[in-house]
Amino acid sequence: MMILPTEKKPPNHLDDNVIPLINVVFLMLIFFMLAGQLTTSEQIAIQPPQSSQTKPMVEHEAVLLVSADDRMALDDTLIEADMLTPVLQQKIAGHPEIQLFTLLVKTDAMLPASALTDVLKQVRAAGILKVSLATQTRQASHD
Amino acid sequence: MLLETAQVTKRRIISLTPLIDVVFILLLFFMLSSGFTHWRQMDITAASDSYNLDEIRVQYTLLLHPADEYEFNNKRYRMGNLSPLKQLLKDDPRGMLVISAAEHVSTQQLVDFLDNLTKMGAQHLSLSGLAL
Repeated sequence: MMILPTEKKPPNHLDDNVIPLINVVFLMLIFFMLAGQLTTSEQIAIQPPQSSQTKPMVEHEAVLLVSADDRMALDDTLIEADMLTPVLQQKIAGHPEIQLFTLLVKTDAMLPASALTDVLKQVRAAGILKVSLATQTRQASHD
Repeated sequence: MLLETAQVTKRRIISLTPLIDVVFILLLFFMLSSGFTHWRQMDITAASDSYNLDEIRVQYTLLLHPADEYEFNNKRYRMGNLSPLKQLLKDDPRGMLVISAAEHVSTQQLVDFLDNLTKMGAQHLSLSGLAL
């Protein structure tokens, strides 16, 4: 009796090659979903100063962005530097308790400190008492 | 006569390609929209709001210079040498340190200096009339 070779269908190995890729991609996806925070892009790009401060950032009524070249944006609206006080006064006018109005100032680390103090003086002139300066956690140096 | 044959259940092969497409799109979305900046805040309030000014007797002026130096009592010190300020805080813990910055001092240098003062235990700090 002669045994004829049976025609075997080749198994589908195509997907097997992609499985390690899917594993890696899934791991990357989980990492970005858990470790990252969804952020909205800001009107002015800034690199905040690093600090050892441990107080986490909380919600503020208004956010003032100041770039290294002294451009300003209040709540994502570009404003002229000399218009800061009147714009802030307008902003807090509708607030029920002005003393509780909180402003977050996000400045670039390379902004001259004298420019920052000028900004803070204008904020104070507008009558805002609670101001916070945004910083980022200091990265450990590996020297 | 019809014989009932055992029905062979066919395994449906699901193609992985659409899954990969979706996962890649999700990955791209999270990579582009995620930020890894750990934001912190440094509170700056008006002096009258945070301090009992009667408690503060003397104000000491510190001027920051761009070349990693600070000026205190008309003397310049390297930023690494904070011993005069440590002594000052020991002698007069109720004194207010009023910090101002010369031209070309960056915000980063100012924040570094404030961090060092806070670490040393300085409680009464002021930045151009605003208390920290």
